[in-house]
Amino acid sequence: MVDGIVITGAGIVSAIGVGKDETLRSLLARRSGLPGGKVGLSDLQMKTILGIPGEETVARSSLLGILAVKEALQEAGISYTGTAVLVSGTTVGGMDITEEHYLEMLGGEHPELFRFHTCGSSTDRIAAYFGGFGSLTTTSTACSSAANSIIFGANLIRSGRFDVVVAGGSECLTRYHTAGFDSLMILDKEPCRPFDASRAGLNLGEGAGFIVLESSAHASSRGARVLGRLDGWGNACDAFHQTASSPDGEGAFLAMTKALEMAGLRPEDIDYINAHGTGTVNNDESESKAMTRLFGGCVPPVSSTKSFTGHTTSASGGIEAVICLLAMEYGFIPANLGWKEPSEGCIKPESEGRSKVFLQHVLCNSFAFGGNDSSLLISNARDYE
Amino acid sequence: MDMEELILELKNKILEALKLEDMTPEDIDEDAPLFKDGLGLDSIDALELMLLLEKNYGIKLKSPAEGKEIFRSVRTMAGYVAENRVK
Amino acid sequence: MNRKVYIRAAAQISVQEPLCEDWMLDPKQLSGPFLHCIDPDYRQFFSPMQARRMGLMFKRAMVTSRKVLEASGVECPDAIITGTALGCIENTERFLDPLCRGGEETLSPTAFMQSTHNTVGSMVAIALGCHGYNCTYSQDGVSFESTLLDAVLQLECEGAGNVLAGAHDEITDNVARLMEATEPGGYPFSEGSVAMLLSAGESLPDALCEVSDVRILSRREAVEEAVAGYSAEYVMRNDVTFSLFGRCGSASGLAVYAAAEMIAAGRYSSVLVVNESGSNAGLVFLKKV
Repeated sequence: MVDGIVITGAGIVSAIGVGKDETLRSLLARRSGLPGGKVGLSDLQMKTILGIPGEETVARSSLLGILAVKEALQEAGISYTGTAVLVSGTTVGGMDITEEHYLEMLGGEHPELFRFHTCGSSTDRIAAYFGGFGSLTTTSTACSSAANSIIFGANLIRSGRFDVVVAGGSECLTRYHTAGFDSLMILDKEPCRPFDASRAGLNLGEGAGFIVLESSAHASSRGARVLGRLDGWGNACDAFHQTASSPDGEGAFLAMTKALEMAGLRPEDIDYINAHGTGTVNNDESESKAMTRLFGGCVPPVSSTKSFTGHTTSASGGIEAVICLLAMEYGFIPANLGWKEPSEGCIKPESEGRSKVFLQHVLCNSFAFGGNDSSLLISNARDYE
Repeated sequence: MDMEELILELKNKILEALKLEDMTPEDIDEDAPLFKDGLGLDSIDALELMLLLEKNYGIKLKSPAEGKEIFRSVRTMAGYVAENRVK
Repeated sequence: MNRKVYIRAAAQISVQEPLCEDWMLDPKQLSGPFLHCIDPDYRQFFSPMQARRMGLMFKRAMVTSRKVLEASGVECPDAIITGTALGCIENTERFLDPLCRGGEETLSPTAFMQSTHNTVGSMVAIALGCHGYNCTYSQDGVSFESTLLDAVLQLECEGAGNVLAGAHDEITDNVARLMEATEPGGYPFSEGSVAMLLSAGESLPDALCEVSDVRILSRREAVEEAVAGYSAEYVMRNDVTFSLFGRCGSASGLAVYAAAEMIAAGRYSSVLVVNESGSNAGLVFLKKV
């Protein structure tokens, strides 16, 4: 088995910026993209940037994904993708196209547009933009999809099957899932306030986040710059309820514990947790419980950057992994916007954020409906001096 | 509509809304708890029951917490509907 | 150490006779625009309270999953991995249709909650109380190959002993018509559920077959070269698969099930299942134990 998986490229698009530079500036300036959560580019603007004909039908999730994958590949210095793998996470897929044309399609008008509906077709379109990948697939575990893409990609490398995998996730806002979360009564019309006593639900957001994973040997043989190491991960199932998280946070606890064990680290080695932190009453309490179980009285600094980006659902694991890489490279802890008052049963997050810190190891949490809970353990490319 | 009629109507609507296809109104005890020990409903069912009140009786609850007392049993639900229905 | 991956048990509910292999002697000839599964009587498997909220696809997934777990003597697998091309399309329509007709006020939270692709995999985990690895793949025609590849990785890299892998897809009238418009002509569209229990070990004489290789190729021109690289006694292609099971997202999963059973019955020593239904191709190479 291959040991040592490194990250050599990262790309990000969300309501707080297109690309890593803009995202970094927003994070440091505490500039939120809420409550709208929308990426500031229209489909047509993205097509123009990408050189895709304006009249071509492309799912918005694909366009967002292409932007992020392109940035990640450029940073990694990879131009040929024919031997690499693309693993994307999405749930919405081409629902933006389906919901716009559904009644027409049923009436016999352009029913072939249905081919854009599937999650798989949205990943196919991302791959096609780059001239195709050697292999590809799509994970769809709702809000932990991107994190699970990264885990699957890492195992493809670990098994020796591939040297390079581009993994992450992409999701655009749709009426469908906005109405869906609304029917569950977990949307807050005000900007979300993760872990705060007054929190009243989540804000949806959209975007994409992808990272380039490589075997350490492959990266060093081609002299690639290493942004960070993927030292551990954990995927566990809460197995409690279709939408609610368990009161003891079992799935979250197991996911974080597995990630630590795999990396051979102790709880006190973790310098920052990028929480799932959606801002719903249930998630934040359950996740806090899981953290307290694992870290005892010494929970490391925690923040939820969903207070900037909104909950980007299937893309969140990718977006937040890239934010963790930025935090490690530039030595800061992102703020947890909107937090004012401690909430019983919740950890106290880093509401103001911190600067001039060195982050050696961080955990990045992504949890989902059905209790599909995953945690990534990302380590700094440099050691503390 | 008297209370007994309303209880039967509610039972039928609950069976339909919660897709309890193989059950009959007689299987639901109107005085037994709907959640946990009784029928064993959960938080999503509570949302479906809120929807049921809105669709059939024009009653709009603000949050699931408000429904806690109302949805204690079919009888408490019927009492609330009788007093607050707008259609 | 020479650990190999084996399929220990497989079960299906499809357009052929469900939950058995008798259909292989005289497979049903498929006709019509689309076909539903032949379903067993689910009342023998679920109480009314259990069955509520469970659409047909969940019932099929639960019944096939339980059957392979029982056949293998496994109570709780170390991982549950699921593939589905269209996901819970019936619930998706139940939510989408009123949404598109302007009925935002009265949308069912249950339909939405159960329309995400991971509903089946997580419901199986909840039913089994299984806290292990859990993932769902949705890559059109190669959703099952993705699932099987992850199962192999879990056994090879993550130390799993037993993995429950499944492929589940359902069809509705509307979706059948829309599918026909996107991929006109050919075998009827269909639906199907298949579950497998995979284990790793040095030798498992009771297993149906060994999983020697799983690959997903996203460049179709590379397929024939890859096929030539395997010395398979029998190459099972889409025309055979679709003539037996119809066209559906879980067809390649059903093909692997059929191939595994044929190897177990001694008909072939090795089978390569070649699946070229969408823009990607799946290759699954099975060998006798």
